[in-house]
Amino acid sequence: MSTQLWKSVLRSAACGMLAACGVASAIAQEKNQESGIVTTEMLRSTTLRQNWPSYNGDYTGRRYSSLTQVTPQNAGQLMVKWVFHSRNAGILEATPVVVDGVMYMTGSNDAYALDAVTGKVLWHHQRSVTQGLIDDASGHINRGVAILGHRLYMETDNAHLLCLDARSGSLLWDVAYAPGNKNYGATSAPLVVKDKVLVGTSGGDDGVRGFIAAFDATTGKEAWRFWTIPAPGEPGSETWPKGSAYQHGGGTTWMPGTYDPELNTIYWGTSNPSPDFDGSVREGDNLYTNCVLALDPDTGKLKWHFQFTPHDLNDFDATETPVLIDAALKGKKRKLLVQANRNGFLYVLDRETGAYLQATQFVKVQNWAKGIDANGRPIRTDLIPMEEGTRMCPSYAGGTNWYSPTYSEHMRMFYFISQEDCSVYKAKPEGFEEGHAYYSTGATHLPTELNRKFLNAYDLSTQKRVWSYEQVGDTRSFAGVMSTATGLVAFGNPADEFEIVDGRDGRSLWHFNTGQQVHASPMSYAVDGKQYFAIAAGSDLFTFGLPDSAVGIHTGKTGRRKPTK
Amino acid sequence: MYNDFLSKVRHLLVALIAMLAFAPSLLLAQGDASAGSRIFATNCSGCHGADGRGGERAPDIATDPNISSMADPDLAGFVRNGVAGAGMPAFGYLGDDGIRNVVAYLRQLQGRTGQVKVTGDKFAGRSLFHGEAGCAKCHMMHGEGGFMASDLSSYGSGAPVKRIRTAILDPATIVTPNSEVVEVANGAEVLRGVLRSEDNFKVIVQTEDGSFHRFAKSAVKVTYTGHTMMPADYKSRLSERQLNDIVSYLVLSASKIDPATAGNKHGEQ
Repeated sequence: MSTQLWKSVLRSAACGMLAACGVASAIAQEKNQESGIVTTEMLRSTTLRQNWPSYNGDYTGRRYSSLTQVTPQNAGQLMVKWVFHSRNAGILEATPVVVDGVMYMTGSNDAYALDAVTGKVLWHHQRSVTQGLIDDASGHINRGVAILGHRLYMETDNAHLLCLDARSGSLLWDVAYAPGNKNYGATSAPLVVKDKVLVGTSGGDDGVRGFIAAFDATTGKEAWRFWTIPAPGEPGSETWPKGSAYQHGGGTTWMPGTYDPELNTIYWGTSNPSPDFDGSVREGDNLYTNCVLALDPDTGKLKWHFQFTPHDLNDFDATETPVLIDAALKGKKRKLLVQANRNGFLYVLDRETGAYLQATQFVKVQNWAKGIDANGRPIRTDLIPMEEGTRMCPSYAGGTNWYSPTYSEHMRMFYFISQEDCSVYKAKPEGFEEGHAYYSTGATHLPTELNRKFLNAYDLSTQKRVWSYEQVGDTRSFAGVMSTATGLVAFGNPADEFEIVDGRDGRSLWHFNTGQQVHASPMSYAVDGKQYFAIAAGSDLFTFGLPDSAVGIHTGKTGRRKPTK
Repeated sequence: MYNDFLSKVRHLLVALIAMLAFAPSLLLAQGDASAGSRIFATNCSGCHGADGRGGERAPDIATDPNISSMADPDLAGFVRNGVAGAGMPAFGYLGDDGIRNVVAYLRQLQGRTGQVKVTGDKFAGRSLFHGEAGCAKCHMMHGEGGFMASDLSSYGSGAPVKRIRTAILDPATIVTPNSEVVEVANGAEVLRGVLRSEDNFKVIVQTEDGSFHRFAKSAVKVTYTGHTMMPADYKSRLSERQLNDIVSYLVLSASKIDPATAGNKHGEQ
């Protein structure tokens, strides 16, 4: 049978099934020549409609969907379409990737292909979780896949890069990319840039030396590796004491970076230094921890860096998504990089030069810095973690964290979730030991703290918070935000709910109780003329859409079979 | 609820009868696989399938590496205590010997019984697999091959030669879940592919170009062929020597499943 015939059958079947053909005016067809293929052009596109081909949707990291079927007027009718239950260890933190009606999801070291309309498993790649890992890696967290062509990439809990055939889930190759220190782990989704797959590691609280590594997407051969902690004699090494501290200096790379194809530059956030709370063994600024790094994706060469928190003492990782926005600022159209940082300030940089443009304190309460100077460097207060404990704000969970922010092109607004909280930070010298975390004591939470989350709308041009929506619920949620071209802002709230608000004023339009903590960021996709939202919560993945009747889809037959006697 | 109760009673009765019937062998056996096979047939196969490769109500426990790589005591623990929440009842009443026997039989189904003797040339087998015999058109082996059929990289690890030969020569006897070829007719047009998912309402079929197609059953006619994509003519296409070579390749170059790296799939964290 010819492929031609199959395609015609497919089209007529899709129309017959949902009677959706011709209705989907708002959802342009972006079928590729061959179904299911992710091309570099698709990855470079900043218009997200039916496909969501990478962790943040597109390279800008702004999590903005151009789909328009769900609006502030009809969002109240959203309903669950299907639920996928994972039996994997740990909580799901992945953002699914969707390509031509197939959804790719991970849970621990397992990968799944799901039918994006029904949630049925098309294939399941099983891989046991790794025993003997420590700290974050022992939670077996995984944030999802990257895809190029028919190849799917994922990291494993013990920092292997797997390449699977996206059509079957069969393993093509497996590269262990973090040898030499068993405290390495990996939790991120990889990032595909041109013909390479870029990965990072976790373990920044465990005395590893951070890096970003690039592998040939076809062969798995290592192309380059950028160490985030310079070796003695290299530029930046002067910000570390002499000796072996650099080998355990942290600066890990546990979230995917963003990419500007025009500037041929990737932007990648780095974690806190190790040990977290005792700075006495690492005098200096500790480059390139708590930085955003601008690298050449072909060579791994550093173009520039910006350090948000020099000599961090509070676990203020800078791994929050560095969002790439083109907008006018101070009367000039610029290529910006915007990051709401864990240290409680929202930064705007010029992403061509790395020049610091502005910073705004977004947490209501912080006491670690008096402010940010003209060069973007924090002016510290006298507070540091002490052996008996020092109350400092934000808390070790940060003023915000890895959960996604979003920039709505429609609203020209940056939305993100913040957390008002403080910790008692304690420091005590400890030695590094493989197999053990390297915090050099810890942080505790006082029950008397306010501990509240907020959904914020921030206007870059005025540097002002336009509105702020106080959240009620258990603040241990780690849920991100996305936006759509109809002005919607969707997020997971701390009461285990997936919620949608009007981006203009934060007015709540709809919510759904998932019954489990949300530790993931939402996305949106479309199949057969129908828009869906998806978000993981607990060990399940939920998808939502409007009722068929609300979008002019009439199924006719119910599809129900008669029972046989 | 009522049905659940009935089914539990039925399980219990079946198990009791099994215990009475085979009480002597249960008492005497030390990991006796043949005694275990009878226990398996009455207690396990109803859900896990006669060959342990999965059934309507329970997963594949024969070829799933996460299961086969578990240590004996862990498997025994699942039999004894069941898996709460997943519908697997506790079979503690089989007793330690009964559980040991059923685990011994499960090891046979998993093909993990120790040494396997092969007589062919694995290099010749490799050439055949990736060339003339056409196996790699659909099957993958260590990252090389197709995507329509299963990845065989660890399939031959400790597997009985007889089982591999049967799978090649007589594939009609083994239709693993989600591998059946179906034909979906929409009027005069017919799409042929492998059934990857089905419920009362929909079928999802993967065609040879790798793409997935979803159909409402009410809108099409589905014909189930009862066979997989595996060619049925290897009996005539392969010489005895070629068959031996391919089996040797599958067995000797199979990835070992290392129990040390086995995960706790149902563990907390």
